[in-house]
Amino acid sequence: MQAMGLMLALEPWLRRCWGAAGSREALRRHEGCFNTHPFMAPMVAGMVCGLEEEAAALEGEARDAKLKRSSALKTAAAQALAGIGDALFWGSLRPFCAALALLAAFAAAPALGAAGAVGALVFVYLAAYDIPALGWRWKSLDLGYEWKDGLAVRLKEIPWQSLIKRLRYAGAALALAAAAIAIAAGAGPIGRAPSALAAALYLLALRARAATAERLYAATCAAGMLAAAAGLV
Amino acid sequence: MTPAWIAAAAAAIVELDVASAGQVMISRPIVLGPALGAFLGDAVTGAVLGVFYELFSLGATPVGGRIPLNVTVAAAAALLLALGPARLPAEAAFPAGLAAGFAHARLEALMRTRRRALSSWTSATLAAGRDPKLRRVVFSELSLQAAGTFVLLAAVLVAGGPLAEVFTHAPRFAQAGFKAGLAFAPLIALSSLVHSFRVVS
Repeated sequence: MQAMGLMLALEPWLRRCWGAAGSREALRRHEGCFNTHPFMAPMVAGMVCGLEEEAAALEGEARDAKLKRSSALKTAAAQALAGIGDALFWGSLRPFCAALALLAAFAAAPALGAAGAVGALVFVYLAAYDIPALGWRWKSLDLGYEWKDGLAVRLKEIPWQSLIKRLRYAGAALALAAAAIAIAAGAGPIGRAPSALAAALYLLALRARAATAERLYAATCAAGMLAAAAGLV
Repeated sequence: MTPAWIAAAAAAIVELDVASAGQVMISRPIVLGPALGAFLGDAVTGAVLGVFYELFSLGATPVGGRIPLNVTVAAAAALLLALGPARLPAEAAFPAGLAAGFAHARLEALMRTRRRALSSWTSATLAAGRDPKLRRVVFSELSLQAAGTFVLLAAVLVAGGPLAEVFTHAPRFAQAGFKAGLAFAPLIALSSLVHSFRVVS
């Protein structure tokens, strides 16, 4: 349904460029399949707005050529930005914010108690995620409109891979710190060293792609049932 | 309306933030869990279960048309069971929440099939020169999605009592197994968090 969302977003602008009757014809250009990362969609929408505005100022064959190019650019931009958005927002920023929020909760707990820790958890997570993400979503609409068909070239100038890598390394460090603090504080049921070993084994299973977290949980429940049935616990 | 039903309705609306509207992360379990927990009288349980679901889900990203289990619905369902009228023990509420999350993923798949047909209708309407009234269409689809989520959470609330009975009378080894699962859940969650970075492939 992303195409429908894009059409809804573009409708006022297309009405401004083409008039009420022309905007329906313009909307038909955007009714096909459209799929990209939701936080990158504003950049594509901005680009489309800019190109539609330019096309509306042209006539005849020049207009048709512009519109054809606009359609191809929209599809290409959506696909390229989808990969970047998935790696940056879902794959890096979201777990980074989760690790940061956990550490904030651990830091707040001694001074502010359980309620303060919960408050710190929620506030830090939302602030750490939404400030850059919403800021990007707003700014990228502007950038897409400004760059128009120069978007592909300008995207290459942004060091996405470097940013993703730095976020992942920082996040990994925070995650290891959070894990160490949690296990030292007694997060596991079997003592610190055995809990650390169990966590390492779980991590190995995840890395070996042998299991998802839900499957590891199910396996642990099954192991607990077997141990209880055998009278071991 | 009791707090549990109000919480179910609120969670059904907040679920739209997952992918359909907003996406300002208020639907993430790490946020929704404490909020729902506080509303139902136990923010700490809400935060703990919310963090578990949040970290469990970090490895499952909704790419390539894949629909992972809905951890927002999972967290809401678990908290409705644990802190609602049923007072299901947390070790039973947690897997029940996972089951609700998987059920919602199936519901989401049905909704996506419906929306493909809706896209075709929109195209045909535009081709005929008529106004497809996009705002109305989008609003009605969002309302339908929220209603579907509410029905699922309502079913969870209704099933809470019988589930609590079943768990109370379950064999000791089964109860012990679920207790073990929840006891080790922090370690699984922390491993999932570390694994989600995968800086060395």
